[in-house]
Amino acid sequence: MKVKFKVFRFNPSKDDKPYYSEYEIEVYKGMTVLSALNEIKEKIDSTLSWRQSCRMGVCGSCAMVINGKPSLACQTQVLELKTDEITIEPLKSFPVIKDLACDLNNLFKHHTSIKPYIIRKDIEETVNPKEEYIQTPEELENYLQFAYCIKCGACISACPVSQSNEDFLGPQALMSALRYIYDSRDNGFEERLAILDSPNGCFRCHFAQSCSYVCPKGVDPAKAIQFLKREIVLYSIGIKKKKKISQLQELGEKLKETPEKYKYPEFTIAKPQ
Amino acid sequence: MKEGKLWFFHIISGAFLIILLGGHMYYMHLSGGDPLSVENTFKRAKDLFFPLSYTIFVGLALFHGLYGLRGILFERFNTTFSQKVINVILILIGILFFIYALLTTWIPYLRR
Amino acid sequence: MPLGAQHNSLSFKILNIMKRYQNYPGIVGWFYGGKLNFERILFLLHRLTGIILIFYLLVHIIVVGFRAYSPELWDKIMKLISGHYNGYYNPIIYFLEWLLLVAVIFHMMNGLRLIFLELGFFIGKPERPIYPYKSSIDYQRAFSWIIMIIAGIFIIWSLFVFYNPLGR
Repeated sequence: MKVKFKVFRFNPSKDDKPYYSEYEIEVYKGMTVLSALNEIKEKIDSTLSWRQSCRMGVCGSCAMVINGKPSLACQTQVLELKTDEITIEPLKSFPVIKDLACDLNNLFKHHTSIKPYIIRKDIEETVNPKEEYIQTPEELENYLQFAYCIKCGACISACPVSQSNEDFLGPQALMSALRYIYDSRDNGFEERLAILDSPNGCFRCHFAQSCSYVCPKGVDPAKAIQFLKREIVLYSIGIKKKKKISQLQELGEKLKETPEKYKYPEFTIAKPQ
Repeated sequence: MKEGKLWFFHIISGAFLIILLGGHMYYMHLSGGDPLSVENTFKRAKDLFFPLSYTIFVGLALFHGLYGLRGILFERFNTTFSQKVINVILILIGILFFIYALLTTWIPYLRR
Repeated sequence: MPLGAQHNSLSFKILNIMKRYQNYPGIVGWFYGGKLNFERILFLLHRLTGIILIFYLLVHIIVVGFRAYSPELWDKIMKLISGHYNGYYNPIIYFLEWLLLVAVIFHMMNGLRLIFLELGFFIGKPERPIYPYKSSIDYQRAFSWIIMIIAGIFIIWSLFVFYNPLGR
């Protein structure tokens, strides 16, 4: 069946204002929007530009607004949209370079401003690491969900606050900040507090939850930001939770027997002789 | 630190305002009689409970509302200088209206 | 003709290539809620009712302040501004007062919902994302529906109080 694609076009060296181009192509079952764009570029109009990389939903390059909802083009099936006319636009709240490719400098600038690395008081150990830090699986589950972010930018595009304020840190940066604050190996809450507690920090969020709605990986930034608010409020009124910081694993620990609950299950295949 | 404390007070004042505003709506619409008539208005002006509760009510409501307005304005004006200007303007408006409300509730009571 | 197309020099070419289309929706972006999730519409209504209420509060303080002057001035102001006063009935202003009450009820109920959700209650805890993803939207849906139904009951009750259709 034939489906019509209305694609946002903007070429900075030729156009003053953006416009929409229409293409009609034949789609088959299982075709993704990314395949459709490639088909358009090969057969109809080769000036169309966008970003793509892995085509399987792990890199985050092909995020664009499809029929009003920011999503990954490689993960959106054309026939699942159940409509004859599909509108494709670049991500909102990022400046557009050309057609569907937008300038993601803001995303990376906000992400680096919240110090996305483990901060510990022991500088010598950080620079010349000798051992691992111990972390139990329960402590891992506390922050693992927020670590699966692929930095596609769909949440920032959907957030109503980011659409008005380009200096708002955005759901992606705030969730990354919580991923490090909840990490039991990290000891840098006070250092990140200044940027998180600022007039453009986490308190400009009003819980519209659009970020969680559009996230292609299900990492739920909205939940992370509310937990972050709780941490900052508890800290600012003086209730400090004594956080258990993961310690270095001593060499002797490695030679000890693994506790029963963390042992791996028995082999089901016989070892080669 | 400052934003966290202000936001937390915004939430706390919101919780108190649910109770106070609910009571205000109940009194104005469901308590029978005409609460806006001249006699009732002046009867309220002489009772101590009303000026006291109105003072707390208007203080919390002004803080809650103006903090919300500040949040919306900070989305449009995001440079540090304009944010400082907005802070000063909103604090001035809040103080002026609070003083006016104080005067108009307590002077009739003190002159009863 | 766009700015740089008139000149062929390198600096204008670079200027053209660096030109970006600023794709920030601004206030119009508040209204995309219809295409996205239900909570976005609640956010929009909360914001609009909040703006109405703060400006109404500032006017209300001035109007109620007239009671401190004299009974005659209070009488005159109430006849002018109130919807229902001492036998004087102004249907338009009465209806606007009812709309204000609806705004107050919605803002209060949604505010109650936000007090719990923004402090981290009822939104679930961190768990591994296994497809199909269960996000905080699914965890707080039930709570939000309960709050909105209570708000709806209050609004219908207010309609009865204001307009008394049963004639009692």
